[in-house]
Amino acid sequence: MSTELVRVEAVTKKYAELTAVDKVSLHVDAGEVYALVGANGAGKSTLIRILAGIVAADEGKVLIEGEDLIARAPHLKRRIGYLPEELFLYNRLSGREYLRLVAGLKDANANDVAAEVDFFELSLIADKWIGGYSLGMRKKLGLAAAMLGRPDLLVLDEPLNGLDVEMMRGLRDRIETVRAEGRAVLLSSHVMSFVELIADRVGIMCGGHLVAEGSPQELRERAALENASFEDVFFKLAN
Amino acid sequence: MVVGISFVTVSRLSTEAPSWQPSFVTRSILCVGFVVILMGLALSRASAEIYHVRRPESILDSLPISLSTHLHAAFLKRISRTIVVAVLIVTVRTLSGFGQLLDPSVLLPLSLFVIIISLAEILSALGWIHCGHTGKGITAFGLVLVVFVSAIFAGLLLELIVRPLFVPSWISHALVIVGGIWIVALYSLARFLHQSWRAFDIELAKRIQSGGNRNLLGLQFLQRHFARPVVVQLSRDLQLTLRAFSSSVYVALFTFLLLLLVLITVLTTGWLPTAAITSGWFDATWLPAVMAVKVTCVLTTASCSIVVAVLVAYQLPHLWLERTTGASGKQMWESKLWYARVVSLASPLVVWLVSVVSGTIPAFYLLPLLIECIWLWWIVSTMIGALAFEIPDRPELAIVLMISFGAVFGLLVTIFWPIGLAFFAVNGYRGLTLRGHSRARFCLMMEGD
Repeated sequence: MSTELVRVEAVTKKYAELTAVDKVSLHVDAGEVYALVGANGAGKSTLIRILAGIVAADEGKVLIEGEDLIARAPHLKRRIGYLPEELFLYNRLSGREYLRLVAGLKDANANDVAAEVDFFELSLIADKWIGGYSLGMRKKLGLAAAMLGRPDLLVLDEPLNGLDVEMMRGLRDRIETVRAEGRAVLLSSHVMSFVELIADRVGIMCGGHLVAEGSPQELRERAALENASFEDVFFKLAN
Repeated sequence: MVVGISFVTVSRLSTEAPSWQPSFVTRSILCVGFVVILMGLALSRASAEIYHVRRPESILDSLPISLSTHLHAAFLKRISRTIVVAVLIVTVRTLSGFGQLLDPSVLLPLSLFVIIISLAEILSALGWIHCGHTGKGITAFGLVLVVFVSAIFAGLLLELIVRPLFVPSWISHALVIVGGIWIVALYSLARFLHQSWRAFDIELAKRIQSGGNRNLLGLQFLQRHFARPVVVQLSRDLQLTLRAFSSSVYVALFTFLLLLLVLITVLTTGWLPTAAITSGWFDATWLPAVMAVKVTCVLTTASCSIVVAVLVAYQLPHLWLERTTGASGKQMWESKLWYARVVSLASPLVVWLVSVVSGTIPAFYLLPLLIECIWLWWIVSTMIGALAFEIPDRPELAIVLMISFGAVFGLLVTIFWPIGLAFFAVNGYRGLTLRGHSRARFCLMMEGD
């Protein structure tokens, strides 16, 4: 029987007149990869920021193993590894210094820094200032930081942006390892082939609503598109 | 309150200034110092304007726009900012009764002042980026020399603007003529260097530097006394300061040195009123030389500690990291409190050493003076650090607030040191701590987007 790790209960977030997320409810189990897909402005990133504890929901709540994320923030947030879509990093710190900082803030094992540097192939640039990193390098650094402390839940917003093919494969393997260890991953992506390959369940968002949810196969069946690409399935269900 | 304090201070200065009659040399040094601070403050902003670092204008680099257009655009931006300062100077001059608001005779020196400062800021920004990467010491020295000469010109022009009647006429004529020639030389040099360096430096400006790893993120020994998140935040802040995250770091350092210079001058030139040497400890605390040392200690501590206001503003876009990793408001506040203390730690020691070397302090009072200096440092840096999150997004206002509380209270303690004890006795520190925690927590909870 699967253990529920995250529960999002009727979460709503408004920015002035715009309702970015409208009464969205979902859950992610331990050992599960959940993917959020949707067009730009569908509300994925806002929902992810609420899950990461950056933005507070106007209504509803986020529970991590039954505990309210807002009420018990510091303790619960250390169990979440977060990669934002747009990374604001300290340009005058080196990659290694940044990872040490994150490890310290999470109270994670400092020895993990070296392992993550190796895994994300950052060894050659780890002692250079982040200001000199390309988009791909920054993304790798952000991923390495998110992985520190072996979080129970990985929240990854567009993790593939800027990654080369080799690293995409590496990330897929890593996510599968995380799943095998009984931890959970919630990610958003526009790369449908990746989502279909990696996700146990997919949530399709449109205009702030969760319009469809299920395993890739279930969504195919619901869209009655057995042999079409997953992109077509998305278009049909999103519209 | 901040506006009120500022208004009262400026009004008082305006009223008192006409009766103050420093010599031409003293006035000129103060003017040059003011210009150097102005240039230091503009350093990182000017480099961002030239190379469009992290600005929407970076799209212009991909369009068919000539190199000189980029330079001219940055130059015009500099001029528009310096004009604001020039207007303020003319307003203060008028308030002080040194001339009319619209005085045609100061228009020419005022224009030269604005143009020289703008060009010098452009040159120093070009040199800062270029020499920061290439490490060309001779080029850097040459540029510093040119910028310093420009600061002298601008400082003398400022003197001419503020008090035209006090400047000998031959100096004012020579200044205008030589200033005009200097502008042509500065512009030609800036244009030449920009043409030669832009292609190479634009990437470096965006990628900043990659060397000089004085690594402070290993301050592990502090973990015995503080929580690990506090230690890593403090280490990061100190590391960023060593790497000059903002030009305000240079300004703080320069102000610190300037204040020391003033103290040395005051202690060694007999400016202070003479007082009978006393052997009583309580009397010695009010000796003019001792008071001068203590006041300098307060001011240098404040000048170093207030960098914390700029640091907090600088870190706001990065705060998502603290928000998502479970750092608490208390930890954030503690790290900034200790940051303010650590960056100003040298103040009491250096100021005390200067007083020892000057030989103007009675020998029996040297040790008590050191203790008083350390006490003042503790009080001032604590008050300034504790206010770190009061106005996080408005560093200029935060600095005024910090000075109003930290330095002013420090000056009170200078007069009579037990006043500082009262601050702790009446639970002032506890109140400040609780408020600091809640302000940091509020800052942490504010939505990053």
